[in-house]
Amino acid sequence: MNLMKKLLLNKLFLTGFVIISGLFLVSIFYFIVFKDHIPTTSLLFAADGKPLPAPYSFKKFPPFGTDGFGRHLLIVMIVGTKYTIAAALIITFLRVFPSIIFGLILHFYFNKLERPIKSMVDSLNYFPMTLLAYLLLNVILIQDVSMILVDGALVEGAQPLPYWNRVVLFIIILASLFVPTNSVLIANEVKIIMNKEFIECSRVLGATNWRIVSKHIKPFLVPQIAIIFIRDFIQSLILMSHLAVLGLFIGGYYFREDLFGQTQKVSLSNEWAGLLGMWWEFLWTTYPWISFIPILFITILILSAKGMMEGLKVELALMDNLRETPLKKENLLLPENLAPFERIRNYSK
Amino acid sequence: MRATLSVLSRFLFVVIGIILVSAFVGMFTISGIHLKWNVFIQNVLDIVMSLIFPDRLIILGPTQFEYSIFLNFWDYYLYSLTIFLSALFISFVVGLFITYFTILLPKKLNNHISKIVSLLESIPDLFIIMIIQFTVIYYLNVTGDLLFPVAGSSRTKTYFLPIIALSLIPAFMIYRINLHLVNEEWEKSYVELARSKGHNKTFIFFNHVLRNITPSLFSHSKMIVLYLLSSMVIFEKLFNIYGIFTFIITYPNPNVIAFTLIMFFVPVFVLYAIITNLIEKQTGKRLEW
Repeated sequence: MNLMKKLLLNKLFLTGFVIISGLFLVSIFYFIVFKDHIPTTSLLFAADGKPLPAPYSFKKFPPFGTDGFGRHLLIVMIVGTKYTIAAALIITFLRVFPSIIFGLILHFYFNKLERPIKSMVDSLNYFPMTLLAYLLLNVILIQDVSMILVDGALVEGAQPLPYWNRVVLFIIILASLFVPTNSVLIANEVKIIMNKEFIECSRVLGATNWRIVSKHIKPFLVPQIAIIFIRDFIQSLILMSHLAVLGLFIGGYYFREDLFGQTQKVSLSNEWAGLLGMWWEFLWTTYPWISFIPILFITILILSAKGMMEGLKVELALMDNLRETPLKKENLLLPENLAPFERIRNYSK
Repeated sequence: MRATLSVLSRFLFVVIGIILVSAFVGMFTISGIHLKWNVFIQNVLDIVMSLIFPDRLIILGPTQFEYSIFLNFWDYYLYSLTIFLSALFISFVVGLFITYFTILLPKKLNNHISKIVSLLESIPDLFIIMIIQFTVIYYLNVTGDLLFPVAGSSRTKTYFLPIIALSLIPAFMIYRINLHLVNEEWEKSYVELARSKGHNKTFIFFNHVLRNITPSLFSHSKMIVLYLLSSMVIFEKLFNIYGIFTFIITYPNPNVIAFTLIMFFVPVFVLYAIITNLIEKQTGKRLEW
């Protein structure tokens, strides 16, 4: 409780938290009040009666202008916010919480297998995750039935899955790719805590595994998991935007005619990563600001999460400092230079 | 010698890991999704056979004609490797030199700078690519000269922009790690002694501190290599580079994936074996990584 109060007084943490939750709440508010209605401008004409081409400038429709269908981009971004943040949060949740359980199981029940499992998982890192996720999802998320040539005859390929199955599979696969690494990380951490003296005392007094986990390991592990959670949130956002550039995003696309009757791909959920992937091409046209909008929003989101993480680290280091004999301020370990788990190591020295 | 052996055993583990993951991917990419054990084992055997007999590395062309990947594989491979290794090299050099310049600054500024860098480091690479591409295109629009080719094609290759864009964020990462290590080292008594003997900061940095932080810097470099690797996938797409990741995405056969990735790691591991040996000779520290 005390930590929460301190965090809310920390400037960096508060700024990040207010930005993220503010964006999310605005999006939810828009959903409840306006039912996600996106205002559209129909074709505009110049004074001499000639039609003006569709993406209208941000000067005419502040603040962001419209896209090729005349949709107002600010509203499109607001509608997409809740899906982006929710998807990233769910992915992060599925990445972190199963790995806590697996990490504990790995430590307590598979003690002998620990070394081979760890080196196996470590070697998995050398397969680029973006590539792995792309190769797996590219097959699962197909939307059009492709024709395959088998023995000289055209055969219909696999049928596309229904919409919600695709969304769920996207989230589960992105999450499960990182569970092994996170589990090993947490197992390592539990091992360090278990080597402390007070655990041995507790064992001698007859504590069971469950009591040690819930009474002794939990207070050390929870702050670390909070840091890992924010770090994974950032990584999930980056991975989602990378996949979107390669053409895969939550919900997929549908085809729609623009104001001039040409069919174009449109993101179904208007989620930011998907918009980024689809609007990248505008960079080469005379409307380059359109492609900057989604990446700017994603960057703001990532930087706010980073700010929350830095604030959390500073407050945790201050708390450790109070618990130990108070050091002078200049001897305080500068927390921003430490990897998530090095904090405990320093504390235990 | 022992250092080389440990690098070799690490390499073997990585090879096994890549083979297993490629076999897993193979259950998805070859004609639909078949999640069965026998398919998996079949894939593993197939990959191992193809690694022993490279003639078996066959891909289907657009006209359903089978041909060996070695027709154009080495072009793709060398192109990717050049970009990867030069980005790695540039990011280290740039990271080191910015650290040197920061050391020359007063101490109070140092803390602020490291905070700003830690924020800069988390800017998504896509944002940096976009800014770089936009700047070049904008310059082309205004003045009419193309500074550097923004995207490659199968005939002309682009090197400068992708390498610079790829090495930017790793340079920040190296800079942050470096600054932390150097600040820790700067408190030690030998630096004080050297200062009192009248050596200037430049001399101490390059002769003593740099030598002492090399082992820890090197053990952090694995993170940089992995970061570069996963960014390469995106860079090849956005700069239209015909490199190995484009190759893998175009021909996702499990044996081709495994072979390409393993070939890509051979030079990286040779480099690591050489550097660990050098560090062991110079400083007497044997590195685990």
